[in-house]
Amino acid sequence: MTTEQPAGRTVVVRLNQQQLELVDRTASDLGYAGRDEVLKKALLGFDALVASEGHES
Amino acid sequence: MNRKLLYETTINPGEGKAIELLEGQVLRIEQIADGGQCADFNCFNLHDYKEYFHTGRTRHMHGLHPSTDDFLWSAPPRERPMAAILADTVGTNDILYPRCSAFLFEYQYGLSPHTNCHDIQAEAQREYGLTPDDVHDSFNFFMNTGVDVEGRPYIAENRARKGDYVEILALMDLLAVPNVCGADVMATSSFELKPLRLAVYAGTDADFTRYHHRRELLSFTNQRNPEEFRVRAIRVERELSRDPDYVPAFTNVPLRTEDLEVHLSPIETAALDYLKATGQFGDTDGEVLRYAFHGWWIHHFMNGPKHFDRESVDEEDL
Repeated sequence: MTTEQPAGRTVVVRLNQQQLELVDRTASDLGYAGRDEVLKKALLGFDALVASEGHES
Repeated sequence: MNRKLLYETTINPGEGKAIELLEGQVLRIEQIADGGQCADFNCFNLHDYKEYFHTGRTRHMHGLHPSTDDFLWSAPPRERPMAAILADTVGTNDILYPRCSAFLFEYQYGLSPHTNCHDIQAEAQREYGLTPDDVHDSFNFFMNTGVDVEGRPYIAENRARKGDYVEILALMDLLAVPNVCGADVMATSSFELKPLRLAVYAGTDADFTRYHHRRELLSFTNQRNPEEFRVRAIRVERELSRDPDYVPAFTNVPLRTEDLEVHLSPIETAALDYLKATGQFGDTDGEVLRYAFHGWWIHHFMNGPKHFDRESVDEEDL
């Protein structure tokens, strides 16, 4: 049995310069290549948090 | 612990006392008589009265019921730990309720005049030339409170007993203003006002080094002092008028946004769709990704208390 996954897609995320400062600093601190990588890492990490802890806003 | 007693007094129902509490000294507020008495507490920087205790930042840092090893923080833009709670034998304190006032008793009970913490503190600190406008919301030691399922605060029976006490270590020179809470027709002190013993001790080296990590809490650029203010003079005129030469200078303004294109793999897309389907993190792909970044960052890196809800109500409140 195969499990279908969605195709990848492009997301446009709007951030202000203060938020971008946080993204860039995090990428630098963690040794990521750039903004893309840290945003993706965060996405997967947050997904895992929500799935495991029933995280609520 | 053996500390040298420097000063002691008793404050009776309806009374408070302004005490110079120097850095390193310890103020003990102790239940005498039958116990069960709420003690309101406030403090100012002895050398700059515009730096004063702030329930808001304290509440944010330590929750609604601070206790042993929590700090009493000063208001923005100073935002420094002014004092630390060294000891708390009861563990029921409150910084949700504002200080009671003359208006409160007149409005809710038709009682006027009536003992109230605002007027008691105003009279106590008048000894140092402060006005009633200089009173601000206080730390309610021994006040047993909670929040119900609908988000409303409530007052429960005071659990303090004779001999119970709190000890407060001054982390800077303070004017400390404790008072016997004036609320006798509320449950705050179980409907009976009792005296409190106040004692000031010389703190020990152990008291002070216990909070040596506080040095980290004093090293922030944005803990500001008046020398950094654009307006430094304390205004004497009560009437407000516009400065015709005013030019706004807000921080980081204008805020500029940038649209980033992020190319997600199938696995990443599946994660995004899962989060989006919960309806909790935004309506669009971009909103969800933005929420996910900040939520992940807050969880892993943010200093201080996380502001994501875990439990909105304690089980014992149900």
